[in-house]
Amino acid sequence: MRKLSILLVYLIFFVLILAPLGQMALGAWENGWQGFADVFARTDVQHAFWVSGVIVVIVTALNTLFGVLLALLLVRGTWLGRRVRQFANALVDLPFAVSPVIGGLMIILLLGPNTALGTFFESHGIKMVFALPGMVLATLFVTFPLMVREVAPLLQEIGTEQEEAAYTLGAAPWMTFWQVTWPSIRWGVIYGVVLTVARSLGEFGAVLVVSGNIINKTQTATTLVYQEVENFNFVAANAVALALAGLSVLILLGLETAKRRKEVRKHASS
Amino acid sequence: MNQRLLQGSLRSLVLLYFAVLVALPVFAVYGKGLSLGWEPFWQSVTHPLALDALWLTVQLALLAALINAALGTLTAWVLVRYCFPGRRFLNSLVDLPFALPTAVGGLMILLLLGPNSWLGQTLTSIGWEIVYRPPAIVIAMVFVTFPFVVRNLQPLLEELDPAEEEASYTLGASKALTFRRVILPALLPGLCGGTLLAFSRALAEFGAVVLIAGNLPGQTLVASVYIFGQVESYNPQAAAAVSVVLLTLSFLLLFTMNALFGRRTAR
Amino acid sequence: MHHLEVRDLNKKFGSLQAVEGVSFSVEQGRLIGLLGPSGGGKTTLLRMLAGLERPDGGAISIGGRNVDALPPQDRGIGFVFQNYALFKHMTVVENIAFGLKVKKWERARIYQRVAELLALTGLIGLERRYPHQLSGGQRQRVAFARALAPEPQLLLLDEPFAAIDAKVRKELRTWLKEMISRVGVTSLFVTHDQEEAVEVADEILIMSQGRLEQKGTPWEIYRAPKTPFIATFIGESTALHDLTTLAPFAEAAVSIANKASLEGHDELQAFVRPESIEISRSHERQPSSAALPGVVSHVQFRGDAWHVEVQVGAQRLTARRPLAYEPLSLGEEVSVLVHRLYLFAGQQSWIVENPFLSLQREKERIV
Repeated sequence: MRKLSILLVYLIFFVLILAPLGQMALGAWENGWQGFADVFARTDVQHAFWVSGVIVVIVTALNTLFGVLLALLLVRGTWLGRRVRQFANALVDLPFAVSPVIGGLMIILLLGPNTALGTFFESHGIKMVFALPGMVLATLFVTFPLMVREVAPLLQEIGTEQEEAAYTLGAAPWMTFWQVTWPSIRWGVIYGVVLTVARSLGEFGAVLVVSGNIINKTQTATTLVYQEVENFNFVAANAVALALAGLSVLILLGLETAKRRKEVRKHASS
Repeated sequence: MNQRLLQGSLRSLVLLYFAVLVALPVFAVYGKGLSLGWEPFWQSVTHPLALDALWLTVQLALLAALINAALGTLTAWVLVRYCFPGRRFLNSLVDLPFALPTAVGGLMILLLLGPNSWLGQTLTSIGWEIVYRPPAIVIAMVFVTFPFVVRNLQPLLEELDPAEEEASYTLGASKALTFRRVILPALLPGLCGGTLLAFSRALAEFGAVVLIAGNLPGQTLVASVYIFGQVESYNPQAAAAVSVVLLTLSFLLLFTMNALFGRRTAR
Repeated sequence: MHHLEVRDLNKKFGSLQAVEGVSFSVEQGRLIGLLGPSGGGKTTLLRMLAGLERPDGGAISIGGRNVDALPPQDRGIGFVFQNYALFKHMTVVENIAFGLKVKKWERARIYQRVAELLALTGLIGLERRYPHQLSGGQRQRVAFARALAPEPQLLLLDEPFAAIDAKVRKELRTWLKEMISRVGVTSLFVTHDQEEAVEVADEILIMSQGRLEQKGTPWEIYRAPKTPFIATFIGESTALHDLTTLAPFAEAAVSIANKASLEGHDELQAFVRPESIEISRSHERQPSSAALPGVVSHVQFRGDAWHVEVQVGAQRLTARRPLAYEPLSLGEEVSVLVHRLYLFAGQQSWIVENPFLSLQREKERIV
């Protein structure tokens, strides 16, 4: 029974995760190291990774900042009233329930060329849709809950006593946050950052809809993979996908480390 | 006083960011979907291809969620209860579908089961065509939503006091009975929550599915791909109308989950 | 001049009136026990003094300065939390030095003050430990040292002994009392344990359902409880259903009852403490009209005395009997001498001494 179930689990992992990963790795090396290098020598591939990188950096920075602030507001903002906070709390999860394609569609409907906001930005020379700003917004939307959901439970768990102790000892709110609250939530925030990086790097549906997937302009690494598959250029698709998968594995290692540190803190405290 | 002003404006900024980024886009979709009134909305939604796409999505997502409920329970059980070589490695691997771009996930499955691979050819020769057909969609959905059930069950399994099981044994209950009457009820919230999450995620999945579904209207075209097609063919109203249906379904799931297991997730 | 003055403090949480019209004052250097059942508003009161909770109404002044508009940072208080709230990621020394660094003391001065407190609280040798490496008692000492470090004018302690196991608790109580009297800081501590309050505090404030019921030294409160609640909360008391069974008190009770009903107050309630009941065999004491006949219905050994229950008419009374006397047996007929009763009606209270007993003493003196 025990041996059988362990075997079964190994089988699940093999069929579901390891085999596809291995197949793709083999496919990417079909033309050897040279084929791999050729793909990454293409300027459109380099540009796609550049666009992805820019989106990851902007989205992660903004969502980290606002995610932590919103978590603080939701957990500590007693001035907001319980009802309001409960409602906002439910609203935070909204992007989880929304298909990425719909996430992209939302941005088009709000900021597209025929909308009031779209024409407003257009007249000021800012192109939102089929350009970087729209892609950033779509990714922000999709990744929004990650940081809040990571930090809010931590804040709840550490409670307010240590912060109050700092107040009675004369520390101002700002100082209390950095000296007392931050050390307790640090690894949760780092975990949230890694998650956000993963999701914003991997975001596909929302970005595909908003970007128009214009080569050398709005194409990201993931939409490039899509296009290469549509063109039956599997070697290029494989190579780019393998690079992305490699990054994902790195991210996974980062997640593991952050999680372990988070747990250590938790156990040390109890 | 200055500091209070600063604090006040910071708070307003955060709330504004939240409202503009999350709430406003959702209103935009509902607004657009219903902008021309009820009649066009109804027409867009009941368009045969749209209906087919929605129905197919619900069926396949449900199947994928149920498969994951079974696979996930087994995996979580083995990972928590048994000590065996490679356990830590497998445990880390559970999160890979989260970390991997969904398009890459789709490509991986396409490569493994596609017409060019050894496995794909073998399966085709025995009459099992998978890629560009519904089974491939289910596999993609299972892949993408695999972590949900496992990660929802693991903490519950870890919390489960072995003494409860032992008590059941000392009272003369068999292993099967103990599992059914003692362990399963304790796991049920996590199992239901995880399965619902997997279901709602599968409903929404796009990246992994679009590459391997073939997207034949009426046969392998799922809702999210249908919406994408409508956007590409400059028909935002129809896209929004189908989105409204899909969104409403997702919200209902989300609120059911919050209502049923709110206390758990809030913790 | 009072060091701490609280006037008409009010606080509501939703529909719950947590603190209602509380006024009191405390003199410099006193150690005050804030006593009451859980949910009585003690902790809320303490948190309002600290500025951690904003009162709905009322005024607080510390050291002659009104602090109503001041945040906790500027009130010059020290606060010891129920679970200590030590900073988990800081060592013992860093915890103690935190408040001094915030106040931008010089390094040398901080070093000296921390060393002083480490010596005072007996924490030498534990300087580099983290809170999770300390025992409960040690954590409490750190919390105490941390709160005292910035030399507060007022020390507030929220259930300081609640998280410590019973054995260590006794030691810590004496330690804390000594420490506070040595430092000389005005202190207020919250507790729900009456024994603790009586043992540690110079003065006790009793709170129930958000109201301040009585303030006084432990002896004053024991001796003359102002409300039925206090009579049962501090020390033991038995409620009397029917005053007429206690013949010697009947007359006094009737006259008080008349007075009370004349003033339109609620019903008259009577209590008697086990310590003010003397039970004796007929040969141990001369028969007296001050005593009543009773039957022993229950006897139990309680370590320092016999715990005896006697039936007097329809009333069952609880009493103590010193171990020096012979034990009583069940069903034995005894004489029951009640020294004094507490009577309450509305806001008023009376202590009624046994009239025959004082008469008897008078006689003995004359003879």
